[in-house]
Amino acid sequence: MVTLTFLRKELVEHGLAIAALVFAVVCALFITLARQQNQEFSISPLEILSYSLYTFIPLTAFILGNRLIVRDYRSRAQLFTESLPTRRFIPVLVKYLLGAFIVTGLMLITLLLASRYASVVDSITPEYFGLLALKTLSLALLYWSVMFAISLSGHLRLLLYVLLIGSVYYLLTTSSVDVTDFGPFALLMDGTLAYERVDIPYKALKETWALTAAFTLVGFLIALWHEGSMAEVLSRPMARRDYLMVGFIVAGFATVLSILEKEPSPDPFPIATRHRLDGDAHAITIAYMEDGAKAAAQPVLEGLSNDLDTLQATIGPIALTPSYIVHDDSLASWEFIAERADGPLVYGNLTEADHYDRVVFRTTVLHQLLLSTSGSRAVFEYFHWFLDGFTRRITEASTAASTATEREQSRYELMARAVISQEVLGDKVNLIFQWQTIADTIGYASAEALAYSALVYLEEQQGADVINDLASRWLLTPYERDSRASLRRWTNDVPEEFEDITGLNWSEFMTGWRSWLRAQNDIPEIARRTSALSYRSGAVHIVDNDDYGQLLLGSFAASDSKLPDPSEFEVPESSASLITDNSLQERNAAQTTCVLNYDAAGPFDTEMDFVFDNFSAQACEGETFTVYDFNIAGSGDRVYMTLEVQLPEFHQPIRLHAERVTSP
Amino acid sequence: MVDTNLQEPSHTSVHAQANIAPLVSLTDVTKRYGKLTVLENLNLHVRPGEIYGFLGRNGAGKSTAIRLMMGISPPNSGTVSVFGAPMRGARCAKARRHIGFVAQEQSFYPWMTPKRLGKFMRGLYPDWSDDRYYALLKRFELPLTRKAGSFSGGMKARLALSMALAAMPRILILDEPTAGMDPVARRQFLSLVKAEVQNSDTTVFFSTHLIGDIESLADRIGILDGGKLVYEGSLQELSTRTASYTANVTAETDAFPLDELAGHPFETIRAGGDRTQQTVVLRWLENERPSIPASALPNGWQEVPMSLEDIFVAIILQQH
Repeated sequence: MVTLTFLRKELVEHGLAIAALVFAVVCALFITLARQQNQEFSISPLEILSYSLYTFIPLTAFILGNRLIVRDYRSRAQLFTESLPTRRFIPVLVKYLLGAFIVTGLMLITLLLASRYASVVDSITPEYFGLLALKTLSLALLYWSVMFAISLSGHLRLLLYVLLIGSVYYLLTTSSVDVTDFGPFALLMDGTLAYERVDIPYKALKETWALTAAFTLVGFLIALWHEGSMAEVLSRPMARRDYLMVGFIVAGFATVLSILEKEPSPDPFPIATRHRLDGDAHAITIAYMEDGAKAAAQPVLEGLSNDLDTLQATIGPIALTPSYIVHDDSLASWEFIAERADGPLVYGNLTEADHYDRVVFRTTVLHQLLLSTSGSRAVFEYFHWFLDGFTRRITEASTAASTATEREQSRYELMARAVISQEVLGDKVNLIFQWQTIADTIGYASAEALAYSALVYLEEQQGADVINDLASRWLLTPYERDSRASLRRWTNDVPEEFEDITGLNWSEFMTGWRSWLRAQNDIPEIARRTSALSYRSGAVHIVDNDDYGQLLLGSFAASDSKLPDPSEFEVPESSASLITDNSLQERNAAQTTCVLNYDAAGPFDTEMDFVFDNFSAQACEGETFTVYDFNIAGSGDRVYMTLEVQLPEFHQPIRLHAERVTSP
Repeated sequence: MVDTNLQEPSHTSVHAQANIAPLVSLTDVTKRYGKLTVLENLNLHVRPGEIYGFLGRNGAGKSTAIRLMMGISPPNSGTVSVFGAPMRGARCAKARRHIGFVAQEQSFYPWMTPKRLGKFMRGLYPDWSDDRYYALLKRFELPLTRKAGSFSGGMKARLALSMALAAMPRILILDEPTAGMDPVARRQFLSLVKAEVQNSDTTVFFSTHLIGDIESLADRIGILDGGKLVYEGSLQELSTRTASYTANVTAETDAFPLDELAGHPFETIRAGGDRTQQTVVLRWLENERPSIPASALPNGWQEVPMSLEDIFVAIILQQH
């Protein structure tokens, strides 16, 4: 009688809201099912079970928790309820049972509807239906139990929701702990929730029920602990002290997670082809993909094996991840794509590559390897220049699968690139503090050449040992991600560290290196290359044009020439010089080609891939030159534009300018 | 010091019930919240049919004692019995069916109207009387269909009293029901209580810190201070056994002759003052205060009439 009285009270208070909620959910279910049926590739209507468990059901549980519990405690009617002739747990029990009934009832309605639709094409046996009901109702009841416990936590509930969502997100996305095998995660994320007909997932069900029981128990404990005073106190608005406590809890939680955090190991890269070469001493795989490319793969393997030997001989034995290089003949000879599997994975066109290009591939692999070894510490701006220069220094020094002439020419080209880069950037360039800006402006290939030249200079000044010492300090010390390490890094002074190891003041080193680099241009083989490039500066614009709406303009100029005025640009009547074949190989013609690359840039995009989908290239000559293309970006869009010159003296294009311009 | 000399109550139906088992009984009850002892060895007995005034300052432990009586809170030690049985477990809910309770802060479900509250209460109280409830609502001039959450403090108190009385309780417990009311509302409420209970058999336990609330109602009072019962007896007895004497201090003023009162057991509630005035408050323990003519008082002393409130204050101050 008393229980019924409380049930009636709940129904009178929340009946309308519950009816509206059920109606809304059922309508949403019908709409979802109808949409699913009308899709081109319709899947089983039973898929809506998973969908509901991700959306409607937790939302329903959340709303009910707020209606049945939070609202009641906020009304401050606790003393009145307690003074009534009933046991303290009865009103709470009624709320719990009513909530459980509605949530599981909605789940059951969903199941019945989905089964009704699915039965048209599928056999829904009682056993199958029973298994579906067992799994989905167990999950629905868990959701309600969680919301029940959290709703009773009064003013702490928002914090608990944040912690709950944060924990689940962390466990599913970041943590090394695999929870997809556990209880509700196993039931929900298995992918077979709606399709398994025979196997009853006893383990996952038991774990789900245990969790349900635990949350239910916690809820009742909060409600009844100390004569209900805990729930009553929690239902009061938060005081300043509570806000402080919440802040400390969240900060503590985040700190603990950061300390416990272990990065999951990536899965091995699956190379199933028989067209592969594997290293003997090192875990290197070159997938050449076709018989014709095997010969081109061999020197890459030999070179890379030798690089790894050199690396370990130079800085000591270090654990190296597997390395993969995969042949891709759709790429230009100088082009490569660097990715990460369980180790470096580089795609390049092996058959088109010569010695210089192969060195680039190998440098990329070493770069990625040391990134893994240092836990990505090496790409921090302070150390990135050193990583780039150090890896290139190893590959340049390798004598494997190359002739002395090839190696010599390669080094001249690299130094010429460094000389040009310095001329483009000016004398204020600082490797430690501006590396990202440098790489963004002149591109990674030139930035790497600058870093390489700096290490050549350092070796000339202080010997090779200091470089190895710097490598041990900056590249091999594993990067710790937790908060303690972050605090330590705060106080870390990189130029001071450089001076400690090398004995050179950083500013003086930079000044000396820049002078030395300028003097390198006196070497004829270097000067021949640097003088082949007429341009040293560039500018990009988006201008209005009467005929074409808007044009993208990229202007090139020699160092002593003024950049052309973009407002005076006129689209040439003949487009003969415009390279319309949109293939990268075309740009490798034995002539100087000016290239305007462009791409849409998002609001927070920083570095852009150097391989652009969009570009305009033209054979160029004269002291100034302007490349144009038609702007397809909308007004207000940001366009990332780079200016590059491709010339026979250099394997990779030389970038002179990069800028993000907003389309007017 | 606790005076347990229980006088015959004046309440009409209580005559000749002095030896009947108490309806509510707290025996050696101690209640602590953490390290704070709120009630200490409290002994309190409410007889059937009497109106018991439960007096004490704010924070004296009155509401805690009521929570124990209602079975909302259990004692740390001692026994709480209502209707002759201990208030434990399921027994509490059973006993509450016959208890009408008006809390200090009326906190019923704010979305319910008096009409809805009546329906709700009917399902909980077996002796619930709709007739009485609606009659009380009418008498108390309460709207039937307005949400209780929108009521004023006085209206809420009258609604709570209506509900408590409509449950046809054997005992009505009022926990500072007039707290926060303006003087007019308070007086109206008290007259309603008086009218409703004075001619019924309902036992009333009226907790308040204002002696005026129970002056014209209570058969017996208990004064609680610091979790201890410092007085229990009738108001009349309190009034007739207590006397206050005062003297303006001059060179001729004699000392108050406490020794001459030997043979009349008494306690000194207060004795002291300053350089200009001395006061002595005495309470006789067995009999009414002896009649001492003004001429018989020592030089400079005179008897000063005391109100019940003066006596209540003197007794409370005696403890500190």
